Amino acid sequence: MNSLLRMDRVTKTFPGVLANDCISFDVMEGEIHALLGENGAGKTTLMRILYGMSTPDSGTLCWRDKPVQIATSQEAIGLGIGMVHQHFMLIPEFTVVENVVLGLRTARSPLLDLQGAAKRLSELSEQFGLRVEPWALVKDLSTGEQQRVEIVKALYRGAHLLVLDEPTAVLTPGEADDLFAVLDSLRAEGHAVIFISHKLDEVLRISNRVTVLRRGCVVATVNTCDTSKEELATMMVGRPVVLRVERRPCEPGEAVIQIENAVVEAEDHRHEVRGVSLSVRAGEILALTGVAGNGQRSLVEALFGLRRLTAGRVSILGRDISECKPKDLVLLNVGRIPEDRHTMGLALPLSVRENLTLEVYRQRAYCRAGVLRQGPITALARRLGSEYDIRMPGVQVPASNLSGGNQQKVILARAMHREPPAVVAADPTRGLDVGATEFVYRQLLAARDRGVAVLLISTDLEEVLCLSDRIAVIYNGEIMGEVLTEEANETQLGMMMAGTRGVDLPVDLKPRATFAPCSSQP
Amino acid sequence: MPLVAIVAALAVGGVIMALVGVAPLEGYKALWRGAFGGPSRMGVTVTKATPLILAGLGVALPLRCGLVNLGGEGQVYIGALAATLAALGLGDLPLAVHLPLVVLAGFVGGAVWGAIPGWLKARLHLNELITTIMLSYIAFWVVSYLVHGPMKDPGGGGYPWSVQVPDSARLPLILKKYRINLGSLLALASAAAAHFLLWKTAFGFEMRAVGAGPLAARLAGINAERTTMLTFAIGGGLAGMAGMAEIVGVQFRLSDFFSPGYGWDAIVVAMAGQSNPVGVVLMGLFFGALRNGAESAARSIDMPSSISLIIQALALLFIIGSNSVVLYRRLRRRRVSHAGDSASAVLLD
Repeated sequence: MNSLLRMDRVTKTFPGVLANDCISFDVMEGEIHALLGENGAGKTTLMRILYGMSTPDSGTLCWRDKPVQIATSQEAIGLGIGMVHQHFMLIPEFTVVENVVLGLRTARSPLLDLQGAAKRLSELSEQFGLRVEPWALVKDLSTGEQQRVEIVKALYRGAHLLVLDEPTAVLTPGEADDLFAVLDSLRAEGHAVIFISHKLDEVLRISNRVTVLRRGCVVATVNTCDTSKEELATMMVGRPVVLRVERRPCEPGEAVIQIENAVVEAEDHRHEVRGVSLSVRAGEILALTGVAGNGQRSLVEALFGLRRLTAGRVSILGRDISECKPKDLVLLNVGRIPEDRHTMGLALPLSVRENLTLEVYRQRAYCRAGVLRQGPITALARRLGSEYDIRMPGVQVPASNLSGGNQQKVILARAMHREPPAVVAADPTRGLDVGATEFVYRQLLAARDRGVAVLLISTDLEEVLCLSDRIAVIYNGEIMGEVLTEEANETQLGMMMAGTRGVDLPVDLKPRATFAPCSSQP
Repeated sequence: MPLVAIVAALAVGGVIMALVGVAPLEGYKALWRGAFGGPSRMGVTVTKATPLILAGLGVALPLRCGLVNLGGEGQVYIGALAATLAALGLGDLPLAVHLPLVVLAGFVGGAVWGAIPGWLKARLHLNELITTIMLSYIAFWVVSYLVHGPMKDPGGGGYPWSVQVPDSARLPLILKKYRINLGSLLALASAAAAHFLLWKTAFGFEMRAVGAGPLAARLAGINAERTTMLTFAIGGGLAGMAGMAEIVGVQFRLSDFFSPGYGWDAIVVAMAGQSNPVGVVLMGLFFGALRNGAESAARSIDMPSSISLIIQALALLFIIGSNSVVLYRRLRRRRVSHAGDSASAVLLD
């Protein structure tokens, strides 16, 4: 096999951060090369350099054994490098073929040649088993299909090396299987793929070789057939990892959070949540999982008081909160951890101190006659800073200066320090490294052991399986079924995430009846 | 950054002076003399700065809350109108009673005019950029109609202006030698109050939280609608005080040409002052001095007085430019020999 791409001793620094430290990395023709590493290990920086979005401080790039300089994405595309970003760069209102030819010139320029493009698109689609319909509107496609449009877009532009950035993060297990089939056929046709991931199972399953990055350095490049999950995990984190957190058996009490037939309507009157019923008891973690975009966000917004239920009822400790505004929930002391740290969780330009006290500054201890009492506020912020181990230069720095993990600790501290009886956490570890993730897990488990009812809304199956006591699966705004975590398996959850009801699953996968306090529940 | 922008504006202003045949050094000397050459010149500078500071605060406070108040001019006019009505309509009152009522009227007038876009924004989600500008036109033409018609001074020699306000409604001089009136003190007090409001009170915290992270603020239980409306009303009130101070402190009668665009200049003052009350005071004084100096230089060395407006506009352009992330990145990329990229790439990783 011939070398297709070689990156040699690439170094890239940002102020105060050595993002890539002397990284050497190569890809052969017809190879799937996985790039494995935690968040912040330098994967994205390296790929930005490859794609011409960032210039390295030093180091060389060779393409088919010839040294090249890639200064812009256009040059990268010209060489035959295609990138599928985590967030798709598609225009929803356009058809697939329009999206594919966007920005390209044809022989008929300035006129479009959509018919010709559609024909070529169909050929590519057939060749690699992509199953893409050229004339469909992108907004009507599922996430998996949109991803395949991105792949065909890159191939249409002559990509020989495809870079996929965390491609499975947005897919159901079933869709991921389809993606792997496509990658297999690409490899069979001699294309090369760089597969960026932090999921070990996937990497082991699809790749030929794995390069592990940690803190900007290459730990090792190994043949996939010669390694194991444990070895990769140890290389990635730098120490042996226990992939399961310690947990005591669940001793659930009374139902605390009760959701009964909740219906939430989108602005266009489409129902996004269609009659969800859930019940979370004191001292247990109920995970609500599903592929992103199946109504979780609307449900969370309703639970946070940001959106009204169209029908149904939510109560916490027996009190109806369906009509509650965020302020009432603060007074009721419901811990809320939003999924979007940067917009909903924090007011980034404000200081850590101000962010920590965002929910309590009106209390008598911190405010007299409308004037804030700086002393107690600062004292509270300092105390929370040390209790929750928030690493920061001081409580006065803007929250935007903190790392993602520490930002999440600020949110966690704010939500948890008043010992709420109920906590709603939406994707609380998204984008966090292993250390910070562990911290969040320990906090949530400690809360559960104290008797807090925790509703965890997460798209990460591994997280769900590791943290929760029970799992409910949501699809298209409806609950497909509930299982006890100890009896759950990925196949069963995956099928429910893809829209099969628990009761319709094959006998060996059918969930047993679980605790069901709401009579309305199936 | 704003200081660099102002120095750059002054430099380009010098080039323009040279182009119109004024030696830049001479020009700036004349400007300086005009603005600070003696007590009366300094007094005029402060008096000219007064409405700029007040209206500048009226733009700066909403900016802190994430609201762009382009309607300062309208709020200035309505504040002036309300103050004039209070001054003329309340009859014979002692100064100690009459003047506070007039000041209050100026604030309330502007506050009402500011509350309208605030309400439209909070309740109907209408873009405040457009509503504030449009309301400015309405305010101007309302005042214009009144001073051409119902409020016109019959003995005013045909000019479209109102009767003079009585002595009991006039802001008295506090520094006779400098001819500085009470309005300037009110402006300083307002800046101090704005500072206190922003940094020491719960409401100020809410304002800043809504401006810095609207969603996070809402989630924390802050009533963003109420905050938006109140902030706009307070901003409008401060701009209204600018109109009041100009009428009952300097001109003593309402006309439709009493403001040379204080509400518009306020945007420059607020941005150059980084929406910070202290910065607004400094920038108000700076632009007041520039105005005053330019008018005086027009008389002494025949320099076109529009130079000051050009410098002011340049300052705004440079300030906006200095806020441009793209420009900042390019400059840095050039400076750091090989590469420069925003640290956001690290966060993306």
